[in-house]
Amino acid sequence: MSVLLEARGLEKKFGRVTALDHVSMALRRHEILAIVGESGSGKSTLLNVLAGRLSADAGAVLYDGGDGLAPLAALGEAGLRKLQRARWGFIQQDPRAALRLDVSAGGNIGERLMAGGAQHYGAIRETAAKWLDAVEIDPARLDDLPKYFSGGMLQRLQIAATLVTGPEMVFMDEPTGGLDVSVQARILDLIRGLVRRLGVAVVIVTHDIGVARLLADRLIVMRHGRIVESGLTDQVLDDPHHEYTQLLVSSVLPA
Amino acid sequence: MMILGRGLSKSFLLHLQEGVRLDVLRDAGITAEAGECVAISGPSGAGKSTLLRALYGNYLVDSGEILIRHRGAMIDIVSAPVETLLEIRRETLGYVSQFLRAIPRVSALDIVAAGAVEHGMAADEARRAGEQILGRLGIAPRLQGLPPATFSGGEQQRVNIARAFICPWPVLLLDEPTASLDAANRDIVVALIREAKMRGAAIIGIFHDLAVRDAIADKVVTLQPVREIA
Repeated sequence: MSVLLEARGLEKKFGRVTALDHVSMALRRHEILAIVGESGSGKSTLLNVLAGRLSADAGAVLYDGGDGLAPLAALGEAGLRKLQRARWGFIQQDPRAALRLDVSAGGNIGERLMAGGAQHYGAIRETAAKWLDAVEIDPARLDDLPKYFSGGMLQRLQIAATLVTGPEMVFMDEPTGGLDVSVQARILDLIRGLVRRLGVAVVIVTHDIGVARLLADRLIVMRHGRIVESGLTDQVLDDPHHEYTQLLVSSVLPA
Repeated sequence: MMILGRGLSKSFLLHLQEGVRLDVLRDAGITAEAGECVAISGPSGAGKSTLLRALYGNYLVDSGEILIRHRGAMIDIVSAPVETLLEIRRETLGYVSQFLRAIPRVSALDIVAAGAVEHGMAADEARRAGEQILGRLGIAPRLQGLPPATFSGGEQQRVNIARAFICPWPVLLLDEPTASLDAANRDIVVALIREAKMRGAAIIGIFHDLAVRDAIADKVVTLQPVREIA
């Protein structure tokens, strides 16, 4: 599979804190890549820079939109926005920040379809209902306002609203953080099934190595803004070489 | 030749245990031909499971090469990029671990069928094949639709075995496939292994049960523990 997104020599400082220290990595088409590390490791900063939501102090992010790898910076602000809307998705930890709580569930899904050019009201409604069903929300709730939804339902709605346009790449920032464990399992299973079926490339940031093991083909371990280890997910987790990865793996309580 | 490992050395550097180094494999080697079953034997701590995991690419060896016949060419698992290794696992190399890693909310049948789908089988065909192999291993249809987290050890192991025998992997790695099984199920697994050999699979396994080993192994490779160096 060809490289879809690549980072070269990324540097980022917040004041005196180094968030990214010479980070280079690549994501292939249809690949699921997890970035793990503790708070402050730079993993969310890396995700935001890859997604074009934050600019690095140095280095470049390159993307292959079909004509070979080219720097995101060359797209310009408008070009980047268009790309983010049409071909990429971003799932945030807090769905309240991503959804419009006073717009119906169906409206939240339909909005992205309309931004992508869909116009036929009936067809949009039908697609929205189908996606509610796909994320295990009763399609009868199409016209309900998300502000009355539980946290787990909101997260599933965000997933539907993100995947409805068939993005080729989705960024996820702790998509199960802050949810009850039973709800987490349901969301993870949904994400796992949907992204595999749709062939979406995913970069997922998580501090939970169980999430990484379940979802990811490949794993990057970050600490103090650096990539300390990377490779095949089960190999890195079962045979960790770096001291920090060994600490991460051995710190998990067995169920 | 379907799979060949040679010059394999593997040590574990335990940073959290004062940097202790465990040398588990030193210059180990193993080969298996199509239709052949090779048993790895040796005392506890000799590195049997480590060798099997290395052959699957789950453990990264320090030196040596592991060649596997994949899409007609011999590919080195040790140096292959991640995407090639994943492709080898989907198409060529099956593995049964000692313990099933249950996934929340995913039924036994779906766990078994998923590997076959990735192998290239159509979804409905994989479902039928999954029902059939689970049935043969004595997992009743009533249980097949349930997540195996609450199954007994033997039932979980049979789900694991079903994953390995649902589709015709050219190379199969088996880590104690009969460990927690009763005699009847053990015989079924022996029959499955024989059938896999008949269709030309190369099998490398660890078989604690000597009767099982004698029934299916064509060759035995014995490992000796490497002396530990602190």
